[in-house]
Amino acid sequence: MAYMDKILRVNLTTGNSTTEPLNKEWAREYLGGKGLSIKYLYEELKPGVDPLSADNKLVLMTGPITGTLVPNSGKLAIAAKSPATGTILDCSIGGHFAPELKFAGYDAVIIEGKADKPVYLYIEDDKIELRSAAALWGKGAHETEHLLYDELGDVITLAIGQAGENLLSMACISSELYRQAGRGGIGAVMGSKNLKAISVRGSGGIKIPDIRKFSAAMNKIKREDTMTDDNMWAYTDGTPMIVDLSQSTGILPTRNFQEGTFDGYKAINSDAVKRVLKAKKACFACPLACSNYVKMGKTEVEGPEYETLALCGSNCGIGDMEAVIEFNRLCDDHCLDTISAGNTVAFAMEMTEKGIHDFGIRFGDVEKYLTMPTLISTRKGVGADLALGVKKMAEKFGGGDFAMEVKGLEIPGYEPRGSWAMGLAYGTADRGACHMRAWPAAVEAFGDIDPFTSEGKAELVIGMQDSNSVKFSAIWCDFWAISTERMAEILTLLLGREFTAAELTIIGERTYNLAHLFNEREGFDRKDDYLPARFHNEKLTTGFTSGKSLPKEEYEKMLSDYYQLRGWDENGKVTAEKKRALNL
Amino acid sequence: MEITLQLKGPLKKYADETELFRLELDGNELTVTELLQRFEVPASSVSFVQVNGIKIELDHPIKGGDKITVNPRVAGG
Ligand code: SF4
Repeated sequence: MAYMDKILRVNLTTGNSTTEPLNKEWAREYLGGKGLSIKYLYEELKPGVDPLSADNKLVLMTGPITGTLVPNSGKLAIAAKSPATGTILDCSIGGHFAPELKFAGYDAVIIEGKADKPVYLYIEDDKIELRSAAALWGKGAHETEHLLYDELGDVITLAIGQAGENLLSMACISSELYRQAGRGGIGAVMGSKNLKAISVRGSGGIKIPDIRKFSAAMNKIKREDTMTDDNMWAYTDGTPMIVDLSQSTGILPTRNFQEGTFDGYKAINSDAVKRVLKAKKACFACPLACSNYVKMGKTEVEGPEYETLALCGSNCGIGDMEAVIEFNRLCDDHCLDTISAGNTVAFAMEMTEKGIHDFGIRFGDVEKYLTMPTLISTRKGVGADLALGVKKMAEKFGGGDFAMEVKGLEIPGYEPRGSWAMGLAYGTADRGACHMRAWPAAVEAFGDIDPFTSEGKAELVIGMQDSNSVKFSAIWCDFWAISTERMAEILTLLLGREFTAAELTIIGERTYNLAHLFNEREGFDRKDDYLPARFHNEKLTTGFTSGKSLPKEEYEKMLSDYYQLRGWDENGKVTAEKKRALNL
Repeated sequence: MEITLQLKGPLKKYADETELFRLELDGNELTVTELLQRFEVPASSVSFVQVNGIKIELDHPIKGGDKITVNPRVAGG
């Protein structure tokens, strides 16, 4: 119950699709979403597989709560081996695709092989069709979605834009125009398979053991635990609220992480977003409606989110809301991850200003900045170099000390010199620099834990990584600060068997370890868990973090503590004992 | 003494939905914690407080002319 007990497997090489039962044992050990998609990939992918080859697989995975009245349950996990990092990659995307897939009767879709010509996948309950995408190829995700909507009627679509077609390591997958599975080049995996889009329509429902009891409980939880002070920031402001928090605590990435404060922050903060706000929008079953639909001048977007304001705003020296909105809209349409795109443009700006290589763009140059998303996603002109992403650009042109990436994934919007655990979170995230595996900035920079010490940080980060692993497996939205106890209570009601917080914590730990084992199998170890030299060697000079760095020896200490607490060896490998304990 | 109080995001509900306002306090020494208690803002709902733009500890004494900004807790990112 709550699972559909059915997986759809589509082979693009042969054009065949089959269904199979969901592996119940794995579902018990990994729930769904992140954990279960990684399990399937771990079992089915050959080590060393080229992420852009027909042998990589794309897994769309829902979770037991998906499609029900559980608050904030509208997310879908999309996973594959990452073209950006070579690690495991799982992303989550909101909107309505995940529930619709369950209504069509499936817990998951596993896509294999490669079509010889561009196709899109159409799923309508039992009807599964691969159709020509010749008329869609070359188009942005927005037009693609509109055309599919015109052709198919009321469907929910996942689509790629030009960035995915051109196999960029920063290509994302888009849905409902402005929602993205953003990171690690997941859109390029779709592009490499000649798969332009997936549209779904479902007419079924989900069985709940005691629906009266369940919906009464959900209403109560929604009132007393979701729509509360510590979550309602998502409704009153949404993520733009974080701009002021980061500015005042000195962790707002500015000019390629050269500083942690930005003089022009008032032009890109939540108040500035509210001045051009037209509507609030929500994903399925979400009472928080964090999305801001904004319109300014000739441009409009659902967003911009904090990460975009930080990486494409302050980090590029752009204190101009209209410019950031337009940049955001172009990235969304072409399907560029704004975190990676913003970082890449900022890196090119610093390289140019330092005279290392002339990319023809400098901090704050709005006109050139606005040409970048199109040039990058189509690999035209200077965009052909920027399309490489920060790591490969640094390998080709230099600037390695300030190439702001970990394992090939560009760094999100929280300066680790003002939140040391954030540094450890970036170093040990399973898909390269990521803030969604653990977000300790919330309790260090924005809370009362001392940000400038290595003490206790390993434990903090591990706790967050494990609990988020459960959250993204069930699969909840990040923005509900739900406790593991509450997760256990809801899953018990939904699945008709007793869950405890302790059991869920083990599922989280098992999931994080399995992701790590995937990466280990690909050759990753301690040497890969380091940060760009800038964070260690350069001190910030403004605001709350003035005079601060994250000394290398303190980072080493956090990393060693982390491995030890994880039960991994000094080189960051999962020990045999740990594997046994977690049934891995 | 007169101060300016800003209750950001959802916290403005503790002041009749007014986010930013001036406030006259009686002459006694008052800490940020005591000020929050007067408005019945639960400590668990606050991430951190700034005085004149600078992050401070909650036992910080308030002075006339201060701008106190109270930030809500945030999750996710
Ligand atoms: S809080 Fe935002 S991202 Fe999360 S489910 Fe709600 S609308 Fe979607």
